[in-house]
Amino acid sequence: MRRFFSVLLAVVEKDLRLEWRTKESLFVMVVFALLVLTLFSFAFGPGGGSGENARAVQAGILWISFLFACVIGLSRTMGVERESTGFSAMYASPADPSALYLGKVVSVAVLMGIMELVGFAVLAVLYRADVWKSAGALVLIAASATLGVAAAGTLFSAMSARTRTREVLLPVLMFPVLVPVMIAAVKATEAHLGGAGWADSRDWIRLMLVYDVVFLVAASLVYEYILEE
Amino acid sequence: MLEALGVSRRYGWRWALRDLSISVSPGETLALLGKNGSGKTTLLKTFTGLFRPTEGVVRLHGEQITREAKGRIGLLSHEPMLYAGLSIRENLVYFAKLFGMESGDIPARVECIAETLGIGERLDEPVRVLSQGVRQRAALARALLHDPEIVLLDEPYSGLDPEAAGRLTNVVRALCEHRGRIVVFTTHDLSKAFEMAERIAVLAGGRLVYEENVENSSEEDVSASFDEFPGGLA
Repeated sequence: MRRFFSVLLAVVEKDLRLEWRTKESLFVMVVFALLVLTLFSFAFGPGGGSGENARAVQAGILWISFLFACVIGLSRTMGVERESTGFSAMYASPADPSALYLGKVVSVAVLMGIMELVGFAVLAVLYRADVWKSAGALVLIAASATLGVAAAGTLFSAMSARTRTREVLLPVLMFPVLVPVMIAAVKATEAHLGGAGWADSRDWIRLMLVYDVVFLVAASLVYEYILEE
Repeated sequence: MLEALGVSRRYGWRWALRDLSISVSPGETLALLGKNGSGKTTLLKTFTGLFRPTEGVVRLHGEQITREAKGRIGLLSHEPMLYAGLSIRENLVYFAKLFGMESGDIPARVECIAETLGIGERLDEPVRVLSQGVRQRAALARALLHDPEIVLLDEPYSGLDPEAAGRLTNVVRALCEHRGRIVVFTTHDLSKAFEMAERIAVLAGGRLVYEENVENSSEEDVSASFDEFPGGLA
């Protein structure tokens, strides 16, 4: 078990160190999310529109911007592995593929988390959303959704990384699988931004947590075959 | 003993290896020769477990190559398998952890292997700024870091200047002299093969076309085995 966590932490440390040096993925992710949120704030007017649907629109825009930004970030992160033949190096080692996979998931989730902090701040400013009132709930929702997106994203980006059509293939593979998480994230975020609270969000959060567990376990088991050349 | 038994490997419709059987005993050094595309790299990667044979089996001491067995193999590939954005030291520490080395032993081992390969003073330089020769030595350091029982070197001399090649020859020779270690290397250089190896094997079209001990062999014999096949010597 100690060796498992040593490998996991080594992958996280390596990925975050590479990202800290280049800031390629994070910069692009944050800029993209900011652009989408800013553009839609103009489209819907100050406060992100009015009426009953305003919170639903805000939640939808927020998670769509996060999802697309994540695709860009994943492509870059896996691009580093492809350029360095990191997948082969990992597969040639005796390291547990589950630890390698979970390490990658954690790295991607950390980058997404930083991007989401900026995204929620923009939501508070441009859309006048009261994110502080339900900060705890929004953190839980964001964490659950981020884990799901990182779990699926890491798996599918590793699958598509060594193909010629990887930029097209990644969203085509990833988006359909992420539909449950995205719906749950939007619905739960909408509930808390609208002040409905836990009663309306509890089941969506549970759905995301179950998805996370199922996907993390299943992907951990098949990651070895994805690393194989 | 490292052995390939009836190994075939196909990429799409093209066979890279066809029904190839070869074995290397502990303490033995095997040179693999052949022109480009003859299957040398595929055979090395099949030995490491990176490629799964389409047919046949690869065994190490009578057992199939498992994940644990990969910890006893060191591969120097065409690709350096190093992260350009990290320093040599950071790369080596990362791979040491992947190979399950104890954290406390890693810094000393990294220093030791780097000194042996003459890159001790460049450990903290990012891989992206290194010359081809230094990068090759860094890649060799990665391959030898965990003191593997089986060392597989894919054209280790490519891109090296004479000084670096000489240093590498000394390292490979030291590896070969280690009792019980299996060393397999590919090369286009016949004289290097005769200088370093105890046995020479020639591949052509994915098949083994020549295999002989160095003392029973001559450069003419090996060259002739190339010439038996279309394309001749690479």
